[in-house]
Amino acid sequence: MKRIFYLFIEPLKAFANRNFAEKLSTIYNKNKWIAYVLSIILTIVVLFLAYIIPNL
Amino acid sequence: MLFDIPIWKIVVDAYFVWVLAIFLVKFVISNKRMLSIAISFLFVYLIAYVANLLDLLVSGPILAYLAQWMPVLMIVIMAPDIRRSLEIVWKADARSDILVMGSERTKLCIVDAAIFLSSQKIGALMTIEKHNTLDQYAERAIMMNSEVSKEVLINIFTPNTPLHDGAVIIRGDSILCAGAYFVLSDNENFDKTMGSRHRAGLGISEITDSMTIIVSEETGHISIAIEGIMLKINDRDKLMEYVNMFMK
Repeated sequence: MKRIFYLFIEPLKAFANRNFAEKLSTIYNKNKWIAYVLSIILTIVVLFLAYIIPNL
Repeated sequence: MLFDIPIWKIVVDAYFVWVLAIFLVKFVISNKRMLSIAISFLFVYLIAYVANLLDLLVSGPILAYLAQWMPVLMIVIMAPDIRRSLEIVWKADARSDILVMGSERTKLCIVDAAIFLSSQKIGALMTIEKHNTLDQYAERAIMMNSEVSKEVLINIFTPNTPLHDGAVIIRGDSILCAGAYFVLSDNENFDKTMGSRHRAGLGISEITDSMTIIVSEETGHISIAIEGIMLKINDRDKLMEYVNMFMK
């Protein structure tokens, strides 16, 4: 309950305190191939936005 | 033809986007501070998108304006980190792909040296590398590539010798370099009375996954900096425990 209240009052701070960067960095350091998977996902998203969306 | 565009053009386009995406991902992910800022920016972009979607009268334009200026803000705030991240992305990693941490002998040498330096009140800064490369700092320091030994470490930090200022970087079982300089931490919660050696140790722990052992010149106290946290170490056993945990 307190966490939800905190999230409501200070969402930016609550978001920052989750330490996402730390967790992501640890995962990336253990699995370097994640950079390639992420870039493929990013490429697909960009291509989808550039080619598919305008032609829908 | 796909959407009246030749397929080969789309393939070439996809390849170029992919190359840029790899560069961008590696650039952002190589530095923890950069990653943290990038995530915050992503969050703001997300809120701006939602505000735009809901057509909010006040917060919509403000967030859109903020989102527009975010890249400029990022360049201004993160200039030193951007430079270092670019160096990491451009240059090939000098290490082998398999991570090799130091042996038991190396751990003992590091701990013994730290204890001795502490007893003599000789300031020291020893950074043990893990996954994140410290090559960009080593390149500006004095390269050593020597085996870790208590005697060499003590000799490096002996006052009034050419190598005593700056940090020693330890990679696996070898001392990569001495006299390395790190970016100082600007953590506001950090004790203001602590010197630049402690700030440097904390600074490198904030942006990489390394562990730094700091020996205070004034008090002889040993501290370790890891993941942006500074811990005071009271005795040899505790230091050994942390070194063992980190280098396992």
